[in-house]
Amino acid sequence: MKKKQILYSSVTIFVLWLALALLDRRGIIPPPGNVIFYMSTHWARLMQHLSMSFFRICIAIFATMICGTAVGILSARHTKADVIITPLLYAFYPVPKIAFLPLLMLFFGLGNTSKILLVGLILFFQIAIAVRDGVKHIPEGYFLTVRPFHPNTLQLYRHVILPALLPQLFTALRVSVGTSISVLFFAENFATQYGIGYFIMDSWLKLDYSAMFAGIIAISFMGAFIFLLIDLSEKHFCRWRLL
Amino acid sequence: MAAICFDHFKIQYAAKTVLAIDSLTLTPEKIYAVIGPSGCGKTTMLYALSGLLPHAAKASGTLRNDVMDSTHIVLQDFGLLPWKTVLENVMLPMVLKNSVTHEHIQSARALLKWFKLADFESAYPLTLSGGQKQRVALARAWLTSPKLLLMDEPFSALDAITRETLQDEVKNLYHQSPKSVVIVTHSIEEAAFLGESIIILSADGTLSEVVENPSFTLQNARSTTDFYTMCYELRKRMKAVHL
Repeated sequence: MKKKQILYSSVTIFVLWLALALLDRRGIIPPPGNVIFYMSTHWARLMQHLSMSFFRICIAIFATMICGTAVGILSARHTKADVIITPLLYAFYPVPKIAFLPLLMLFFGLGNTSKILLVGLILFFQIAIAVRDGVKHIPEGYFLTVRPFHPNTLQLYRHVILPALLPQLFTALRVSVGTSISVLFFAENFATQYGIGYFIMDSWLKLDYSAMFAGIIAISFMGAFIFLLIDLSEKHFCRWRLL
Repeated sequence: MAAICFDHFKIQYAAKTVLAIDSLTLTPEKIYAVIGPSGCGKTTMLYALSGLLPHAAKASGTLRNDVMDSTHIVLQDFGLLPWKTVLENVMLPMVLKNSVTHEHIQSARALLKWFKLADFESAYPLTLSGGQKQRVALARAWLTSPKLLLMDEPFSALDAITRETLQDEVKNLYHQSPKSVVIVTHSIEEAAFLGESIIILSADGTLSEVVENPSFTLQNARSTTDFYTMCYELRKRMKAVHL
């Protein structure tokens, strides 16, 4: 069933693409064959750009998963901390963080740090808020179950809060990864020579549409690959949910 | 001997009295069934005995439970953590008390075998039936070998046959290793079958009476006339306090 679905979607995309390429008289959309040929001859170059983007996004995801979860839990579990945290979360969440890129570059330089920070900033609020709500909604029954055995704080987190929270965290990650790839694409248009975002825009400026399309396909595959990684980790860590 | 006694004990939620027991002493190593109309404070009584009362509850008077440290409560919704396997759930009290020994694992396995769950040791609760979940909760209760065992409507979510089988199992286990047990129930038959003494609470949370149950010790009690006489008596008294 799954193989059939993949085959179906691949064939549909291929046919649509071919049709568009034939209809397009200005030569902007290259035929699929040209793009596949480009990818097979330039795969080393593509991988170089792609791995840079992948590295940036992984660091951002990993770092925000830790910080966002910590802040979310703190806000959900400690009323005093919540009084400070929640208003700030609500104040900063609607601000378009992407507008801070110039500021981040001024403070943290033109290198990787400012790009990772931008992606991280966007992920952070989504994860912190999802975690906060997730922890608040852990059924009271789980706490009642362990309370007679007087667990210490560490045990409470290890045996109840973190496992109960994980499904929520994975959902939040999945939702925010799409956004973060778009933001990374944007950030890679500035002050860098590496990254799939740079590669796509650079090919566009050179009017090398086969390369540009190869880049678009590569970034799509990167997104799919990150999704797959999240799915696999969820299957491993939440196997009790019969996913 | 360990003693549990209520002396002008009263519990209020926001000025509403939910439980008011003037005088009641529970004899050790005896099974008590607590029965009464819904909302009469049955569950509150168990939570008070196990120290699980929520902060909102205001208690006054005295409730002496000399075996509070050795009290185990089986919660209404079985109190299983879905991310832990059957064996892990049974071992939970030991894990939280940092006292897991090889003997504990051995006796946990023996208990699971006794409850016909040997093949489900590494299954997750979501894959189990209601009866199996309740058996896991009971296995956990017996593993901790408490001096006082509290059960909150333990079999209310089960079908009739499963319920009777489990009632038999609990009675057998009790005869093997007698301990003080308090079972809250809304089923008259369950009270008459499992209760050596039956505590009847009134709708206003006061103690109506304590009825001795001569049919408790009978073999195959469910098919004796004494059992039915008891049920009839209880029903009559329940109707009286319901008004």
